[in-house]
Amino acid sequence: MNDFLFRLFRNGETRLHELNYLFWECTTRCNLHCRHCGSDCTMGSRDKDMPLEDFLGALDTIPESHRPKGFTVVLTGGEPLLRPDITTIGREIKKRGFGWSMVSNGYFYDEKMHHLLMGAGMGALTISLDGLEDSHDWMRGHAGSFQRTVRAIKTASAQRGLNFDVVTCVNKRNIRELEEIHSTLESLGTPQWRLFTIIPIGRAASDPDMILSKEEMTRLMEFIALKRKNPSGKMVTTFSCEGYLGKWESQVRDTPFFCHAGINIASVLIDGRINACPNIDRDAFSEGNIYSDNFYEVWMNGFKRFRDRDWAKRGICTQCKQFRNCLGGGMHNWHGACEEPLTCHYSLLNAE
Amino acid sequence: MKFFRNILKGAALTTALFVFQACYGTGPDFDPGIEMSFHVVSKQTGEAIPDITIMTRGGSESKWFEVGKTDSQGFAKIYGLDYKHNGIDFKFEGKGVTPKDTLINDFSKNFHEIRL
Repeated sequence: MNDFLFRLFRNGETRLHELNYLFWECTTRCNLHCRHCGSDCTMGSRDKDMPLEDFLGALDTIPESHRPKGFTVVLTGGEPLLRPDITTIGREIKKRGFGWSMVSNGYFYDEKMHHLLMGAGMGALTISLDGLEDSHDWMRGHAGSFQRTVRAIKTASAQRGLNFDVVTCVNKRNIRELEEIHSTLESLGTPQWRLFTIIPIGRAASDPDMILSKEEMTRLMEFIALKRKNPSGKMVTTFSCEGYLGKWESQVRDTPFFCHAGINIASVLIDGRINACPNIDRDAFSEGNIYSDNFYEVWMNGFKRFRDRDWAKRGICTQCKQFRNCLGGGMHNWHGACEEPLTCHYSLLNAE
Repeated sequence: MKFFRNILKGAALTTALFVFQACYGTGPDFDPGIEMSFHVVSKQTGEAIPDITIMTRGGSESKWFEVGKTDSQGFAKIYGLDYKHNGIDFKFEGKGVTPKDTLINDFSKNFHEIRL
């Protein structure tokens, strides 16, 4: 599809802004201590888990006629499996006609947990694997986490019908291991592997090992493009939707870059704030709070800055000829005073 | 606009356009699977039995795994993606009752009364 037609499609989607993907940050407690964590989650998080009834109150504001097929509530954290009521959460979401899914570090995901979650209606799952054993455990700040994650991947990969994928945050250390990670995942039967890079927020902001150079970023694109062109098995390798890539767009993912935040995606954060993706600056872009506002009214009438991104034509984006394709990249790329995007994949990959 | 979108969405070649994944999220849950409701009652008295563990076989060794429990009224709802392809073996067990194995392969019926 050429750029012009895709922009038409994107503009149509923006005007309609159908909500069909809702994150719930159900806990900020986490059993691991990841170097790249955008939320600075810890086991002893200051925030209490949001009570299920509070979230359901927000969910119930969505009219039944506005719950399209495939509407997915994504449980995220922190580590969602630290919630003892995780299966009750799933059942209550399902009872209301929504699908649900979960992003997990896989540490607590054994066969027993897998069956409990499937019985509660889980339809999609993402597990993070950040390298071979040493790199993964280093990144996750916990010896032994690699083995537990591999066990989880093996279990989930064997489940027919589950929309399952593995994500890897590519950094300076694990970029050398991509080929071996690929082989490991294929041998585990993983259906899809999604790679992304790390933006400098949370703990990653002060860690130079996390951010790729131009050469490393190019190497990553070449790797993904090659795996897509000459797949060695059934596993699909793809780059995430985090930013506009210019000439690499059609080579590393299925559809052109389109940040759906605030257009199809909303989130309910741990303190009740309403935002789009949970990694978007909460102070700069939250649109309301479920404890004081009607969630669906906020969705329908708020989110103006997400749906008209002309404001992002500033800083390095001011003169950029790709702005009409990129619109300033992913919304998570704008933090604080939003004078500039935190990263620009396009200039990193395409600059002379 | 919505009409045009539905036509576009219906065209096989462009369906992928609508399937997106937030950068740090999961893929969508597009397969609602099936749901089965159980009501577990006593064979002798007809009374509802709470806290009965419902299990199915799974894993490479085909072991029994819990997939749900009956509530205080003896009801339980179990969801599944794979069930529509095969018959499924359910096991019901709890305190003071004889465990029961039931093979269900008629998925046109989604309510089942189980007598223990």
